[in-house]
Amino acid sequence: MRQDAARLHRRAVVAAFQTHLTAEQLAQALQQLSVCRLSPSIADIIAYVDQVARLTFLENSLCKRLYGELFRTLGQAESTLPPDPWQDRTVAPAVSPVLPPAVPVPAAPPLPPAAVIRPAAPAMAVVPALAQEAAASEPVVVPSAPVTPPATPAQAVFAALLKHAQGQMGQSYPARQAELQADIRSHLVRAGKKLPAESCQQFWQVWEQAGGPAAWIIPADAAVLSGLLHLFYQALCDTLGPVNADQVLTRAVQAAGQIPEAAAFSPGRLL
Amino acid sequence: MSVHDLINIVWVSACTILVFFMQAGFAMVECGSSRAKNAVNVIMKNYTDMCIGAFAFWLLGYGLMFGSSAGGWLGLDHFALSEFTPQSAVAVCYQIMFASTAATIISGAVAERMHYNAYLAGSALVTGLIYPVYGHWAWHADGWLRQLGFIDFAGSTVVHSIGAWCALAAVLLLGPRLGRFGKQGETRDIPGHNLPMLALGGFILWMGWFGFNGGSVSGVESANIGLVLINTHLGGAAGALGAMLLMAVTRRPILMSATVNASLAGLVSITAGAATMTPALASLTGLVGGMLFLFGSDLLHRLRVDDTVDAIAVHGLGGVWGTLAAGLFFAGDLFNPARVGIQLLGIVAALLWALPLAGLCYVLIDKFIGLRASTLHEQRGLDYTEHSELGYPEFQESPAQLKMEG
Repeated sequence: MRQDAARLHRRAVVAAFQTHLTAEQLAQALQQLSVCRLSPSIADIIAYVDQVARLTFLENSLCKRLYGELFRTLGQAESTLPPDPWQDRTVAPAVSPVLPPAVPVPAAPPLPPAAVIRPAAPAMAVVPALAQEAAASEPVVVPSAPVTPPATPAQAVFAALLKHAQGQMGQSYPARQAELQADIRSHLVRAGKKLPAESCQQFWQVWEQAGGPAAWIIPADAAVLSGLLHLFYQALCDTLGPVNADQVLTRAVQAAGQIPEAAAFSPGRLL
Repeated sequence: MSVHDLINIVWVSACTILVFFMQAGFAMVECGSSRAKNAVNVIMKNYTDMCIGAFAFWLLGYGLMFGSSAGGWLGLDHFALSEFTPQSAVAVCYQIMFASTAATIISGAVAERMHYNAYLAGSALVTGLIYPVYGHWAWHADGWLRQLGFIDFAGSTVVHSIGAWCALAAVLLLGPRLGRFGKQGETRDIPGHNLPMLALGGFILWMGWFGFNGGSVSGVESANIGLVLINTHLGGAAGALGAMLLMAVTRRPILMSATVNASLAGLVSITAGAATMTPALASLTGLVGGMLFLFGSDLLHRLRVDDTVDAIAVHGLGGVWGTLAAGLFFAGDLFNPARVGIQLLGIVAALLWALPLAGLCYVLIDKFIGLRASTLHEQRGLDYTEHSELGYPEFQESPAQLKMEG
């Protein structure tokens, strides 16, 4: 019965959203059905659509249209709805959070020398002469490159939060990104001894590069990550003002709360 | 006791209750003007500074204000009074309410970033020392300002300006809220979370003002209660209308929050001269007071002074103008330069007394307690961080959840 209801909801969502959302956004919306309660009640419809809008950066005018569309399709006869997109799956597919296209950010000057990390020693290389000699007798064991430990839940949640916040900046405040970058740098410099220099440098690199998923992971403990997040919030306040900063942070926290690692480490613990 | 004495006791008792209820008005105005995450903190400051002020004033302040005068500068007895005549008991209670009003003006200005304990300590010093000493100068029969002919019928300067200058000292030391002012000097709006609450506070304060001014008459037999009440009402109304007119003329949106605050500025303005002006001049006083509030608010923003509820513009500028107007528009003696000069002296004396002394008090409080909450607590909201309680738990993370998440 429950599966029937879930299937029906998916079909109704597809019917309502497919002409308005991209494939990625639609996949994210379907993913949200496993988290958000959906029923024909208006409150539930609005809450669901708002949640999808927060995650996929939908405009308010589109949201209003989607309220009506979803209300209509939830009341439609089953035979008029499109097929269930997950009918061949038993488990919901993993969907990465939808981000708006990255906006190029002007290059910023590096942090002061005190914050620069010394590069790690290069991995050992096999000396060719030795290799030839050794090959005649015994095989040479080449040490493998250092293995990056997997991200902890706190680090993963922090990364998701930061990624979403930067996505929001690109979507809603593209003209203020350079200013935010300067404010972040200013706060990092002022952080002084309050936060480890290495973590500050890594945070700066992450923000500057806006790289792929691995680039968002900062190897630090929860206390340091919390400090970095607060520093980021202060920079947001300087750039956007407290009201908009609160909105960006709140939405980023909500988005970070959706990732699987959030079950082990709530984003609220970073605040 | 005569019938007049009995009626006076009843009248002042009723006014005492009205002035008490002004605390609720202040609480509503300030809470509505603040963000939801600081609602409990704002209410607690208003609620408990009334409690702290009651004891600070009863134990020390009343004696400093109304005790036997030492050369017109401060009182030397009447501390922790426990023996009263029927009239004096009511008078002491009435004055306790006034003292609490002076202190609570500060709570709005410093909202959203001041440590609760630091605020209470400051409140005790304001009600126990700063306010009563100036009150002695202006209201004690032997006070040096009063002896010079200074007029402040119900406390435009004694209560409102003193409170405002103490608030100014506090906000200068605290600094603005996170992100309040941009790098180009622009002011970022931080809207209050409940403007209907702000308006309700305005209504309550206006109602309380009838007791604030009405209870300050020398006695019901003086027959000027009606004039005082009319002037009070016209002053408040004119304040609102004056601001609305200025907003319309300058093509600004006519904001409800500004209109309510302007009416309060009008009420503050008329407080000094409510018993000594004609209704027409009382209206003019309120009208100018309301307009001055708008100028004052803009000026403070330009100077990057963050006053959460514009208390300094309402009570400080309103108090200054009202005290001056009491000298300018004194019935039967309009625009007397000597009288105006005395009013100016009283205004300057209040500023020079309250601002540096309050600054010193807050510096000491900062040293021993810490004045400003951390930016982390400011971001999270002072409700949970200072009081472990949320104002709107259905719409915020629950305390249990917050506790679990550390």
